[in-house]
Amino acid sequence: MKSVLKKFLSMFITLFVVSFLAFAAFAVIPGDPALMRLKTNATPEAVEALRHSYGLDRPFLTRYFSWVSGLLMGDMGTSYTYSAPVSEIIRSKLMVTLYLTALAFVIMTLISIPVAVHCAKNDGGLTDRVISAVNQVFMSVPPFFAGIIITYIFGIGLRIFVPGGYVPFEDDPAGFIYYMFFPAFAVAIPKIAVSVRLLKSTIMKESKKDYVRTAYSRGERGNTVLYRHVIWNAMIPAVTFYAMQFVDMIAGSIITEQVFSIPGLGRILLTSIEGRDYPVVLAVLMCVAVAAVIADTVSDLGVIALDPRIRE
Amino acid sequence: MKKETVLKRAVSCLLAVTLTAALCGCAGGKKGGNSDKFTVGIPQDIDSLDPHDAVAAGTKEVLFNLFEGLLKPDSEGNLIPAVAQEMQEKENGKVYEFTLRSGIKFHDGSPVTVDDVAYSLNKCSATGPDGTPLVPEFANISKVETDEASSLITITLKQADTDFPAYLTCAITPEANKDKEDTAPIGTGPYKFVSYTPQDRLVVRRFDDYWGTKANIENVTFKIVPGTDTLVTDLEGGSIDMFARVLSEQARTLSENPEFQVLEGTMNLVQALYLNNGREPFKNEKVRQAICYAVNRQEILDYVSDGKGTIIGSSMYPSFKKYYMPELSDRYATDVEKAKSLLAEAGFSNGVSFTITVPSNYTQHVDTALVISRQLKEVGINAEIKEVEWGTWLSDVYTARNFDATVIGVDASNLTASALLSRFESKASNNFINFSDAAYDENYRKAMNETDDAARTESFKECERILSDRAANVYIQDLPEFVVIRKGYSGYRFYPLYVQDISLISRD
Amino acid sequence: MKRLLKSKSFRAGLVITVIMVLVTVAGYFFSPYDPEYMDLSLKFAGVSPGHIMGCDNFGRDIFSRVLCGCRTTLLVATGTVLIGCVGGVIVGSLTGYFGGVFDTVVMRINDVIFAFPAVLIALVFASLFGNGEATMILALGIAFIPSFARMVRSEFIRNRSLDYVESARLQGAGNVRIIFAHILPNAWPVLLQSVIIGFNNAVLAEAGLSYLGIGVQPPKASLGRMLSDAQSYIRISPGYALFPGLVIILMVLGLGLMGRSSYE
Repeated sequence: MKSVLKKFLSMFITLFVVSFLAFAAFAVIPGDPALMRLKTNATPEAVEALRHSYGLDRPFLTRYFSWVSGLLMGDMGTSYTYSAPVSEIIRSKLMVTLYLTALAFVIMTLISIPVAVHCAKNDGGLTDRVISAVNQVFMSVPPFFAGIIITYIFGIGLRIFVPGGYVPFEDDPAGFIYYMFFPAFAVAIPKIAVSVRLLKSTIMKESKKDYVRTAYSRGERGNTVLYRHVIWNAMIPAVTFYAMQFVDMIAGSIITEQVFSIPGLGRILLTSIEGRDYPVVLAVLMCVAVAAVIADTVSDLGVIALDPRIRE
Repeated sequence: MKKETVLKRAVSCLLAVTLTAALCGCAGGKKGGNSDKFTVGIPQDIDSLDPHDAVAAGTKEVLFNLFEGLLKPDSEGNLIPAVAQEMQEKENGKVYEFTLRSGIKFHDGSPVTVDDVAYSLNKCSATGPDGTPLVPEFANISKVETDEASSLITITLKQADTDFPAYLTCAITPEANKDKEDTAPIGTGPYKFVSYTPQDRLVVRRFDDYWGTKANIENVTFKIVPGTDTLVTDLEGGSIDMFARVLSEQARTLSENPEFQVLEGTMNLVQALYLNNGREPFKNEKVRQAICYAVNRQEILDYVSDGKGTIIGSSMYPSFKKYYMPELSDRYATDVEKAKSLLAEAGFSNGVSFTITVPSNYTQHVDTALVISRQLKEVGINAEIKEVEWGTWLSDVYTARNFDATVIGVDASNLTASALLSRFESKASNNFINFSDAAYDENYRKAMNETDDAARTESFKECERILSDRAANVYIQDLPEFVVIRKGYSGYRFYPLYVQDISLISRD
Repeated sequence: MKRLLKSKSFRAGLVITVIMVLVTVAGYFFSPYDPEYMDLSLKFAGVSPGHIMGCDNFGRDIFSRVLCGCRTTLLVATGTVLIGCVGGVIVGSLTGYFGGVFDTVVMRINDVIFAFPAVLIALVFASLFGNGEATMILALGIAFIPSFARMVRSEFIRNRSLDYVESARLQGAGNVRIIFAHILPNAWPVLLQSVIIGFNNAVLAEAGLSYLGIGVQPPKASLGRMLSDAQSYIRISPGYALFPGLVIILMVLGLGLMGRSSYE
């Protein structure tokens, strides 16, 4: 429990450093939120006035600390672009990305575990070789390219899903999952390939260990040994891997959101960096950082739970 | 044994859930093109729902369907009465008198009063901390008087301005809705606000008590589709029914699709290679002219917009029929020899080097810059391309004027000639190309002080002529605008301003 | 090495990689056309004997541009992965091996970089050092360090208490020797996966940054940039997207096949 507390403490420190650097980054790069809103019809006076109303004419540190103190009070600030509370904007976007990632994660797990077990059992067989070849190609396909191809095959060719036909989860959960299935699939493809490879090799490694041989020699049946001991032990490195994949998939979702025009965290991050909408960018950063730390913690806890050696 | 079954059961449960969800989803899949629902794709998000606060052209073109001013523009470029029934100009453009349209209602059913008009006008002329009003031209208003009994609104100006009605397209909104203008806006337009999800969609419904011709389609959704890459698939997939301003190649693809019709208009932009007149080598008029001669505009059109588009020769586009001068378009017909000799005269016989800074998010401008750079090579000019992100372009190029040359399209915010010409006055704050010419300033001032329409138009035209003769910029084109609409809908009309009038569209 | 050469997949990977490298190198000395030359009459010209991959929206020869693009993309991707991998191995192995306060502190810094969007890093670098490939490689390389570091670190944590490390220690091997001679080779399979994925991501990130105007400046070609440009024209000219896409897949596939056999 102590280690969890420690993790959260260091998470907060991390977040502050990230936010400070992000704030500093915006001070370095050219671009001005007021100008971004007023564009080419702006008069210098109007830009100045808007800067004032955003509070941008205050010194850098003042701005940063007023933002931090707001955050500590639970106020993430107001978006420059949308003139709406950041928390409101972020909440819905975050859910979209999390749903997408979760769906991709489920797809990955559902496909990769049985496939990996099958390949491990039939190592060197025909299916194993075919799967392994397909895997190698899938790993080499950029998610971007996979997205385009999936859109064309399933969206335009077979017409079994509507590209860009996104519906919010709250409006129509079934429609949402239906629409998200293919983007999630695009996110999952390279991950499935990697995960099958890793799981298979850990299962194989595990099954060569002494205790497995002992189990066999005790007369236990092959499948029992496999499910009871080998897979379970093989899950230890896999948990770390899966937790990292989850964070990685959030990043993958961000790219895929662009291809499938899904209004999630990725899109808002890019548009707000482009629009110099710091409050939103900082809020997104906080979300990603929190997700990374949580995944990290979960993976550590998972390893502890699964590995009796570490538990003791 | 136990672990095995648990694992198996868990896996099969998860599998069942996903499959069921996917199958349910299949049954619920929708197809676009219902008669009572029309989805318009828009490239940018709404920057504010408050019509007075919104500044992006992409927002204004959508809000046009929800709000009206005392006057509104029509597709011919005329100002027609909207919230006002009648306008009377008095004292040579110093006093304007409006009669409120009788029986006109807001979206919430409440009648429009002269007080609401005064409230809206005052809101737009209220000065911010910097001393300029929301609508800068309203600084000229001396007073707004209302008379409830005769439904009269009288606007008195400090200085006569015959262009003033063009600014009165600013939205009239109810004072009662003061606090909710940016969340639940109310106006008098043919459509009323239903809901808005940032970065996703704006939903509107037909306003059945509209004073004029009512809209045909009942439910309209404006869906935000950023990045034009996914556009064609979105249209073909059926998630949107219409999109304005598709790229020429996409227009070509879609015109081959029997489900769509592609209409062609113009974007109402002055696309040019804008030259920083305050910098070497562009301080030298001969260099500027040489570049004008070196560029082959038709070839640019062929590369960038499939040969469509209108070649222009000054800072004015064809939709401004009154001011547009088609004869300036071939002022600088491509002439490589002449370009070379002009360069030699200017003392640059060994060639010139400069950088064209372009905003990377505008494909057409980047592509134009690429073609120009290629063409300039033939006369010994080395133009390197530097792409920058839009935010950087705005602050470095537009505001700080730290650039050699740039390709961009400049638009007009209202229906007056000065919307396009004012920025070239030597001291104008938005004169980002540092153009400075005494004759230009003189003519521009003359036009602004003139009350006789013909003389005024002539002075503006003289300004355009000067921009062209002095080769202030390398004028290229007014880009073609392709509007794609699903077949079965008709009635779309192009406006001379950034406007998408959905109320005219009907289902056949 | 002999063992490797016997493996079919290694040979396949080697052949693909050698061809890709040869093609890239050949592109320095020879390309059928000037990759930047525009020809209106060839706009979206299809595949023909003269233009084996067709022409793009400016009538430029796609094959010549792919040749030239390979060079740019290989340079950017290799540079990025190199910085990311070397940085990641150093950070990951030291933190994973030693643990303790040092681990906590460094990994928090790692988290900071990880949480920071690569786009923002690139924008900052671009404003400090100007646009260009070097800026892009540096920015992406730094952005790639954390994921490598995590991967390597978890491998080190897993390995550091294993028997073979203990016995090495008992035999008097120093920390540096244990890290680089004993544990690192065992982390190789995992690291290799990351290198391949990283390479793939670098190609994509390069395309993404070009969209923001950072990095490869037109008219210079890069595969990622071509891929993203081609998206708008995929119906008219599918080859425009297909060929650069396939070349990217081949590059990654060649490396992947070789990598796989080297630890199997």
